Amino acid sequence: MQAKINRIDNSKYVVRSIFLLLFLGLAGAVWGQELIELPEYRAFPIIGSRVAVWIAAEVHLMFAAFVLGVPMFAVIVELIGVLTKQERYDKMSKEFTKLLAIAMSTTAIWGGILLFLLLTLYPRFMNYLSEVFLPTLWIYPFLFFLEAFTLYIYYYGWERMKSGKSKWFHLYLGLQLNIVGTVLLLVANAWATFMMTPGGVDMKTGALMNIWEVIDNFAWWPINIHRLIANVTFGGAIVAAYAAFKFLHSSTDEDKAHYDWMGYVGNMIAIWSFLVLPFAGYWLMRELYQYDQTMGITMMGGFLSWLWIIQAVLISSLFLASNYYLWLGMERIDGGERYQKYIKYMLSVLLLCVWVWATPHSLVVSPEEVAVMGGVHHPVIGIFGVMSAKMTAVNFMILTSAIGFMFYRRANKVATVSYAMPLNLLQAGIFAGVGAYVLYLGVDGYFVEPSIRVNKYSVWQVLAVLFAIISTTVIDVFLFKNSESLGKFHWGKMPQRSQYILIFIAVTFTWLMGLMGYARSAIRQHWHVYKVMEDTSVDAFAPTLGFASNVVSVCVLIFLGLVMFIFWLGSLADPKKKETPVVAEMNR
Amino acid sequence: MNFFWKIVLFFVAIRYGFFEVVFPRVSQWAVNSPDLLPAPAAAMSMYTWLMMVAIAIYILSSEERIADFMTPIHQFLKPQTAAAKKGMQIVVLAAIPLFGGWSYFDVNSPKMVSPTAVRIQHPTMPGSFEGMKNPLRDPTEEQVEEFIAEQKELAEEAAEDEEMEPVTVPNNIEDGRIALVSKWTEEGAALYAVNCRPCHGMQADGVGPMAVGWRLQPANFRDPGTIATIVEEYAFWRVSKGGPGLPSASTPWDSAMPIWDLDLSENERWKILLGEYFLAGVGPRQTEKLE
Ligand code: HEC
Ligand code: HEM
Repeated sequence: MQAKINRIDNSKYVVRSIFLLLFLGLAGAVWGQELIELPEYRAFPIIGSRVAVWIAAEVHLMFAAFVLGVPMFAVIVELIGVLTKQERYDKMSKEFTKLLAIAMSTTAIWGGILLFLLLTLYPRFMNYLSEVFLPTLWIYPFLFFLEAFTLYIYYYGWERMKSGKSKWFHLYLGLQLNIVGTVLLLVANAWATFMMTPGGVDMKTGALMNIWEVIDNFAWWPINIHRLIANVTFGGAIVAAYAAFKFLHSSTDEDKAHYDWMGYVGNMIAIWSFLVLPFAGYWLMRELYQYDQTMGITMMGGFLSWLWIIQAVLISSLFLASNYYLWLGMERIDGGERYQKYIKYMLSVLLLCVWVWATPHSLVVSPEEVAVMGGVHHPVIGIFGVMSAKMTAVNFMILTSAIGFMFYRRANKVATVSYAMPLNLLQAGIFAGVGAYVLYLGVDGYFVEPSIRVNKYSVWQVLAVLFAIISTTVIDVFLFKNSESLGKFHWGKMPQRSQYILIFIAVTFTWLMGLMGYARSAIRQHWHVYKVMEDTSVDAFAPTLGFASNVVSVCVLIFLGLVMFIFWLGSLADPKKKETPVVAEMNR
Repeated sequence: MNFFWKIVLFFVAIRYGFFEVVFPRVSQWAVNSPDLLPAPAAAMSMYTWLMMVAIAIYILSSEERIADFMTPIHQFLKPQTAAAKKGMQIVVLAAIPLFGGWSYFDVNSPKMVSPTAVRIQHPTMPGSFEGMKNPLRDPTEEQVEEFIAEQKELAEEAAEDEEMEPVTVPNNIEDGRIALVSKWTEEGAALYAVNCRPCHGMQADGVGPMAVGWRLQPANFRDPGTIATIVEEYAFWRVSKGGPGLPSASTPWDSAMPIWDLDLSENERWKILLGEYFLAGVGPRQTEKLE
């Protein structure tokens, strides 16, 4: 017990000292510049300044994504626990938060490393940024402190504020955690996006004109949205991987059941928020395109072409993997076998879609193939390389996943209401109708102006898909009123391979995230602040994709290594004696 | 047929039957090409991998299917007494490592193969062309007035000379502007016919009389993926600097597109673009408005 308390206190000190260092560092950066002549750049040994900052930034970002994403659903899960009065939700939410509490200090440490590297290696650039962003730099440490503080009260006060009115206060703390976290994200995003799409400064001299326009620059909101959603996805996936890890290590049925369920919930959160990401991604791209055509062209057609091929394969794998996990999950439900026969068809649709989704816009070809095709565009495959086809494919993947999930939900249920047949038909009709509509827009998209395709058709497709998902879910409520049960969910009776799938999904997300971060930065090419402040260092060029993949892989390894360490730390704090069984409650 | 062979058959049917036999012919038929048009090898291998993953998922998503799939394999691997079966076993078990070895050899042995690459049709354009506008799309008031004056003179001449076609004089600046742009467009189309038609074709569809001579075909401007997706200054860059102006990621050595700023004035190049877009029946991509 003594050891445990020490550890907790330590982590608090870490946070405090980081805060202090941050503060001093910033103060030094702002005042120091007046006194001495600064060099423009300094070199970092062996790996070079850029890679050093890159790794620090990426690992910090991964932790930050985790720390900001998890509270969003931790609080929701806690609320569900309060509303349904089921202890297991509360227990799970607390377990999520436990991981957070440990990850928080790691986030801070990496943030500190990043800041010091930036200050020492890129003095001129940081000098400029701090001049432009001065007020936000003062707010940030304060926010960070508030965030850490709230989190620690939220976590360590859990048991004390467990019932009655104080539970609601506890929930409020969770809300505050999220609000502060989101503001933190907005502030940090302003710095990053300013570098890509600067506004509010004189484009010639770089002089500050309007701080609000600096913050509310062109890419700010698109990135805010994309990252907020991605953080939830990421948090869910890492939590699921944690559960998988614990599942594989647990020896009792109870533990297995608990972690199976936790992995399932984490994965559900990851997948449902993931489904929105492609749209948020396309929106982000569109905004960048609008801000600067060159940037848009570089991103889609320029040296990043290969990146999109990799991204497409990764996203395809994510769709296949997550559906596979659901299907495996159906095996543990009595009655699930009734839906086995549909897997073939769902899988076929998914395969067709991933083929389309992974078909690159610029094909990888040899000169002989160019000679035969008369160019890099294959007359048939080329059709699938453009946005219309991709949007259609991704919408179909989402619809298919939604259908898979619908089967999962009803796996052990038999509808007893008299109007079951018409409702079922209605659901089938909705899916078929929306599918046809999405396909129609996809085909027609080839014949309309790009602006209509991007701004209208893709939006209509998404709305139609959302309509299908929501309406069929609502119908399900009526359809399965007083339904008969064929049996139960056998939590914990999951084959081990399903847990490896969860880990695979988490690793893939992490890697994808790092790679996309590279894409975002690389399109600035030889600019620190795009077209305002030129990069004159030895690294004033965008690194190649091959090199970037290696650096990103190193970041992923560092991140996962630290996460393993954190999981292990978390398990140190586990009480030796098992808590009250919740399996009975779960198997209802 | 048992499940194992069904899966094998499915794979063979799609991978070889469809992709090797059906697909190249359908593509050939679709564009009326003289050659078969199989999918490029790199795309093919990606499709194959994804299909194998999907098949694996199918088998592995139910214990029953796993058993169905594995049983024939287990059966086959059991000790056999009948000579025929035993022989078969030896052949298959020997073939697997041989196949592995051969594949390894095949991949690694030195061969004469062309490198594969992503050829980027639309690389980043040089900064010096960024933000240029086609001055001919929006003539100045003076230009229009000058044009109207010219038209007036011509109209007077035409009134006297029987042989000349009647000339319409625009009534106001707006009409004048439209008439002037369409005059430039016509001139551009004429310049196009002289300079670009041999490769890009009179219909701007990329099949001019010289087109067949090139390995990398001249761009088909009617295809929404070419000049319709780029802003006009981008096309201007391409026309001015041609194939050699491309960065290496766009394999400039494959492109026959000439450098036109050597032979055509800036004005002529903008004019040609008016004509080119007109002939292709498309417009340049518009810069979307910044909100
Ligand atoms: C010798 C044959 C030839 C001639 C003559 C020629 N081109 Fe090209 N052009 C090509 C080839 C081949 C390509 C495709 C390869 C490339 O993009 O460089 C091309 C590409 C282009 C592109 C790029 C289209 C895109 O979307 O990337 C434009 C624009 C273009 N040509 C305009 C013209 C114009 C205008 C003329 C006349 C002034 C012209 N070309 C004359 C061969 C030719
Ligand atoms: C077509 C779909 C998508 C496109 C076009 C796209 C595009 C982008 C771009 C350009 C960035 C850089 C912005 C930034 O660094 O903040 C980015 C970031 C990110 N994307 Fe996506 N994205 C897509 C889908 C996804 C998906 C499916 C995921 C799921 C994991 C995802 C996760 C992320 C994350 C976590 C970041 C933040 C990474 C970072 O900033 O370092 N994106 N995305």
